Amino acid sequence: MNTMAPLLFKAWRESRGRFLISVALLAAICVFGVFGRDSLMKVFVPDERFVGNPYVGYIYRLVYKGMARGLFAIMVMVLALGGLPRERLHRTVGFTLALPVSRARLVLAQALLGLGQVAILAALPLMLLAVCSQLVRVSYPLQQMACFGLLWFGGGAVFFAVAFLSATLFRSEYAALAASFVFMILYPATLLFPPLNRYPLNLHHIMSGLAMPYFDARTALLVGGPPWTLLASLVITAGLLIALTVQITRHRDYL
Amino acid sequence: MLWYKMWRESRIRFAISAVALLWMCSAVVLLQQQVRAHADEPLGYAQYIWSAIYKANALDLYILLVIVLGLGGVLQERAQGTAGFTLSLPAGRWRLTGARAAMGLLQVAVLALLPALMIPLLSPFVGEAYPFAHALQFSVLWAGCGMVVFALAFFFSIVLPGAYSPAIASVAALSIYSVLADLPPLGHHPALDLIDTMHGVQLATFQGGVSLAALVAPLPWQALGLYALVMLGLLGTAGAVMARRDFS
Repeated sequence: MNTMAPLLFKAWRESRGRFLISVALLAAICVFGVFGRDSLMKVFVPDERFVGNPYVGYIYRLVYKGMARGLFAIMVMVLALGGLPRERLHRTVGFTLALPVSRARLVLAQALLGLGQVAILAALPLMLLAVCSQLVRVSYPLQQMACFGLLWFGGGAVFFAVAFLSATLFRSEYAALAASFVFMILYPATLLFPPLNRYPLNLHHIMSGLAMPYFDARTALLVGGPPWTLLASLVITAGLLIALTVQITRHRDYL
Repeated sequence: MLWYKMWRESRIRFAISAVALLWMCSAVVLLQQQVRAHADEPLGYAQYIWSAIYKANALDLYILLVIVLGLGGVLQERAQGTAGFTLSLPAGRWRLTGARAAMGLLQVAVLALLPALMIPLLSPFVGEAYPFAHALQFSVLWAGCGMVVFALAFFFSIVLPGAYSPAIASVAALSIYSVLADLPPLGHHPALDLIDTMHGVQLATFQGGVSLAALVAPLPWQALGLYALVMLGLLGTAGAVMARRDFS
């Protein structure tokens, strides 16, 4: 019997509230961003080097570099929390561990569903901006949105995996949340120290394209095709962190 | 006893927050030469500290950590099955709420003070100086505005079920407010922009030499007073909701 479907359903029931709030928030930013652009374009102004299409610069500043990307990073970290450590606090972990499936499958189902949710959140601006921009007769290049969606998924998967590991390492759910937020902000600062500063490892920059060779700041557009090697590295990193979480969960005492 | 309970519940979060802020301030000070050398235009040390700590990443970190400190409470304890023990303590619900709020506000104030201790202390090691009085001014702004952020998360933790919903609601509310504060009619009143007040733009003259005697003059006391009222309003509403809520 395939046990993955019920486990995915269990993981969905546990995280759906957070996921739906995240979808609503990102959707609100994208929709109001397009329909309220007359007012908001005065607030979200591209930097001085920008010489391209004002609408493209504004959407980049609001969504792909700015507020929406920041919220996306926070949301994917919140989505990763929970699982067995939280069930232990709620005294329901015994029921879950008594299910006729291994711990590895339990954790993998949660990770799989979470990554699916990260993918949907990453693709959300593409879907909404494409439709809303059409409605108000402005346009943002579809290929750009798809490429940013891939970058968001790659960066989001790593943020998700870090928070997923943090939720396993800390017994307090709020400590795990604090540690995840700390990672999100301290990690780019750590990358300024040599020898790390030689490499393009800043996830925030990777997701927004800022200071990356595949992004032109003057037009706020990605140049060339998607950076597949970088994206593959991000997915592998996320996979390794999730594998580490599985290993820790397999040997942890939840009594 | 209540204070000790509240401390036990939040001490790991507080410790993580304190270590993270200290690390962030240390990194900013120690990396100053390298970052300033790569800046687009010449950057004075005071301006660098302002843009790296008081205006940017360290402030974001502080806001997120303050939100996390505001989480918890009896509603979350109900999900863990321990609310009954807390509510059966020989203390009223207002006292329970007051103790948690007071402990949280104290932690928010201590976190706000950390950059003021760390930056002037570390600056001589990199051949620079940063006046303690100037750093203290920013700490007052962080503490004053951070308490509103804390009160917001505290309020949501009492009205919203789920461990993480209050955090998401707080982040969302602050993000929306920061946009609205830049638009008319709120945009015409700079004192109403919480994040800009925390940035301390009006203090960032970068001339150094601010003395303790001059501390009171340039701080936006009117805005801070307004935020204190908002904070008290949020905490009072949270206390009233908590007093009437059925936790069975």
